[in-house]
Amino acid sequence: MKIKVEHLYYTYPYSQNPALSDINFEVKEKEFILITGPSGSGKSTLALSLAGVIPHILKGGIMEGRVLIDGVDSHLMRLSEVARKIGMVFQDPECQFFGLSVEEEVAFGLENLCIPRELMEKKVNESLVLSGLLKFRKKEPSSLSGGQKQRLAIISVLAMEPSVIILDEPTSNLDPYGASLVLDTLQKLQQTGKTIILIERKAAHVMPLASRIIALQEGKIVVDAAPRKFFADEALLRNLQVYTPQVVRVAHKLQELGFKFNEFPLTVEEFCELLKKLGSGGYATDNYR
Amino acid sequence: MQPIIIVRDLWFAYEKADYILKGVSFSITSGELIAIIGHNGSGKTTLVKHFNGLLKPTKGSVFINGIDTKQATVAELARNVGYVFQNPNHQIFADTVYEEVAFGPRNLGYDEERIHELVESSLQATGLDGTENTPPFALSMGARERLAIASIIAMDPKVLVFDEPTTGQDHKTCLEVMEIIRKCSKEGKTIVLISHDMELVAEWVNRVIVMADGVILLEGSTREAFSKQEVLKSAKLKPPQVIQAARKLGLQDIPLTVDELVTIISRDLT
Repeated sequence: MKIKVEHLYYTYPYSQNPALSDINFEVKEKEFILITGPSGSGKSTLALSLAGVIPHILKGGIMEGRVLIDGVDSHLMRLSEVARKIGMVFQDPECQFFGLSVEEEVAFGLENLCIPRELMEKKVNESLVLSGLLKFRKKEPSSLSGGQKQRLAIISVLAMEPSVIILDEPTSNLDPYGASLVLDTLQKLQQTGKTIILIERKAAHVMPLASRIIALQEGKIVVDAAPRKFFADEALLRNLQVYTPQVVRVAHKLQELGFKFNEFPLTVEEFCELLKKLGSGGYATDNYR
Repeated sequence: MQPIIIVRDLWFAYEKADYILKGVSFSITSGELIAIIGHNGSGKTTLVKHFNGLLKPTKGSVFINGIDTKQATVAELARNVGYVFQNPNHQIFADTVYEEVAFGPRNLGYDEERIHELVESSLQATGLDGTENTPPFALSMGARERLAIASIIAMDPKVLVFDEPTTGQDHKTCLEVMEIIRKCSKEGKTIVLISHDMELVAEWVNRVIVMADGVILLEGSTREAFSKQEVLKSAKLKPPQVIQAARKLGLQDIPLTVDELVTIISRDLT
C-alpha cells in the first residue's frame, strides 16, 4: 500500500492562510514516519487529508493537489474505501467513542464493513487480547483510564485491518506509564508489517521506532529525513524550535567540546554505547590526551 | 518561613469508603516552588482541589494561610489559591481577552480602576498585552494557555496551582509557560505544579512530592527523589534521559539537566 501526496494545498473555510501549502511526499510500505512541528503547523490537517476526512467529511475548505492511495485519487474513492486501507486515531480518544461497551466500540467498524458475525467475534477477541483490555470488554468506554481509552481507540481502528494507521498525538494526555504501553502497542504493530504515521511533538520515546521524520512549519514540509540526520543537525533543530531528546542535546554539547561520535546517538542506549567506545582505557578522545 | 499550606492526615472519597487519598500529610512553605508527581489516578488532582475548596476532606484537614478549608467558602479561598486548569478551553468563556481576565478580580469585588491595573499587569506578565479586544477562541492554543494563566494571576492569589500546564503544548509554548511560572515564583508566589513531564520537573523545580495510589511515597529534593529508583518505579515514573544515561554509565552524580550531564562527563570521563 502506497500513499502519494502531490502538490497538496488546503485552506479551511473563513481562513486567509493555507493550512497546508505545496505538500509533496510518498509513504512506502512498512515505514514508520514521525510527523512533527509546532502547534498550528498543519500536522493534524495533513493527517486528516491522508485519512480521507478531507475532503469527504470536512467540507467547504479549498483543496488543491491530490492524495493518491494505491494510485487512486482520494477524491474519487468513497470514504469507506479509504477507511479500509487507512485507519486514523484521533488526538482525543473520547471524540471517537460512542458505544455502550468496550467490545461494542471495537465491533462498530467491523459491522460497518459487513464482516460476518463469527469472524467479527474472533477479531474483537483478538484485538482485546492484543491491547490487554479483555477483562474490560463489558465496561463502558468512559469508565476506562486515559491509557486504556487510548488503547481502545487504537484497537477499534485496527480491527478493520487497515494497512496504514495514522495516530494524532496518541500519548499527549497520558502519564509516562500509559504512554509506554501505547508505544509498546505501536511496536507490535510495526512488527506485523503495518505502515505507521505518528504525529508527535515529543520525539524522545518514539526514537527507537521511527524510520523517517517529516517536520512541518507554517503548512510546509521543511525537513524530510532519517532521524539520525535530522537530530544531528543542530542549527536545524534550533531554527525549528522542536523538542529535542535530552541525549541528543548532550551529544551536541559534547561534540562542541571535542568529543567525536562515530554515529550520532538517538537513544540513551546508543548514547552510552557510543560514549564507551570513544576511546580505550577510559573515555578520552584524541583531542583530550 | 511560615507554612502557607498544611495538609494533615487527609482522606478523601467521592463514594463511601472508596478512598482516593489515604492519609496524606505535608506542608508547603510560603514562596516555595514544588511539584507533585505521580501516575494518572494517583490522586494529584484530587489533592490540589482541596487547596481551593473545590473538594472538602472526608477525614483530616487542610489549612490555607491559616484558614481551615472546611469552614471557608470557595470565594474566601479563591483570594488565596488560584487554580489553572489542565485544559485552558475549559475555563475560557468571555467575549474578549480583557473581560476574561477581568472576571476574577471583578468577582472579588474590586473597583474598576484596580481591576484595570490587575488585568493590564497580568496581560503584560503573560505577553498578551495588545490582545485586550481579541476573542479568546481566536487565540492560538499557546496563547490561550497563557490567557488561562493571566486570568488566575489577575486575582493576585498567594498560591498558584498549575495542573499539567504544558500538556498538549508545543515546545515553544512549554518554555514560555515555564518562564511565566518562574517569574511568578520570583515575585514570591507559592507555586504548586502538577506534571507528568519529568524532564521539566528536574529542570525547573527544587522540591517534589511523589504520589502513588493516594499516598505520598516520598517528599524531598528533586535530586533525592530522582536518585531513588525503586520509589520512581513503584510510582510508575521514569527519570529523565540524563539520569538514565548517568546510571548506565556508572556515574556517581545524579544530573538534573543536560548541562549538568555534559559537565559530569567532560570532568569524569576524559
